[in-house]
Amino acid sequence: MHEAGIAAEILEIAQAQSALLGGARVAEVTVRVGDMSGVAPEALEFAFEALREGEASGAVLVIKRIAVLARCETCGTDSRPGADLVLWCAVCGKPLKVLEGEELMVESIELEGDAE
Amino acid sequence: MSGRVAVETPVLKKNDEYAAGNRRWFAELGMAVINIMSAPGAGKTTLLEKTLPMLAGRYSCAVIEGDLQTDLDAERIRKVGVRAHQINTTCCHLDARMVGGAVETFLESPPDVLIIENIGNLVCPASYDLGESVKVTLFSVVEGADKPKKYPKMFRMSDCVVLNKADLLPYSGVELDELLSNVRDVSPEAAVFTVSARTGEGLAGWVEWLAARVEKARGR
Repeated sequence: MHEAGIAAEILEIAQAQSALLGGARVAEVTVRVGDMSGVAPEALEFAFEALREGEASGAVLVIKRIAVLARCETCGTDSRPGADLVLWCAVCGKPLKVLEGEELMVESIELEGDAE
Repeated sequence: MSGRVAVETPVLKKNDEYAAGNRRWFAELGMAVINIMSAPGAGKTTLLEKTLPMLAGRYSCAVIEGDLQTDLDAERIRKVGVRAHQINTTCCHLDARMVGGAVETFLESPPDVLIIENIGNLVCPASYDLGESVKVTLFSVVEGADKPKKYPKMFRMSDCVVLNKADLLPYSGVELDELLSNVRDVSPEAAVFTVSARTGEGLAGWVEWLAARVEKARGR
């Protein structure tokens, strides 16, 4: 599985933010993981905890899971396909465009440093 | 100082940037790049052994092979008279940087068509843009009709889904209609071909589709 690689990228993004603020401690990293992103949240948490070091050695990973949201560009109907993942419009029978649920984003990073 | 910084950065930004660089470079070279993904044993190399000779009269081709170990696949490709570069990586997928490095080995005479045989894995390769022009998922019918729903991302992202080992359908207990319907549900717009790379059944349609996409990618 590629969750270790994904966790390493997340930590690198967090370290870069920390460096911008003079090596502030990374307290928390919030990521958005789509249900259709191909990433398993449990495996990602495990890899993140195993790989964190330096300024991020105490960082907590917060995972926001994003359900699939799709829109029919023909009739404008939005829908949340269930576990059966039928990506066709139930109203007009046209293919749906996926708006949410495929993302893999670092949303925000909480940093802690010595107050001046 | 303390506080929360909104970064809104894609986790795979570094790979995405590398892939965008590859894409510009491949366009300058006039090279169509095809990324073929599947689970291990679905028949990627066999499909290439049959497809490459069918393209040979029209295009110069080269292949990048991704595997954890051995250069067995690159050897098989060379046997059909096509240049091949083997990447061995303990990674579960190829990324844009590995592919960029491999393309360097073909620069003396860049091919018209570069086919990347990704590492056998139905999950991870789907997350990594390589800068390719066309993504293809190969799936052998014997893997089961339910898999497109269980592993939707790769099917969804692909321009084409090739269902292989059609010759084994009578022994597989898999209903082709059910499999086709599951592929369609998750990937409404992909072209779908049912083939047997081993017997040659259905390959003409796939090769014709591929050639059309190659023309488009090369801006002809």
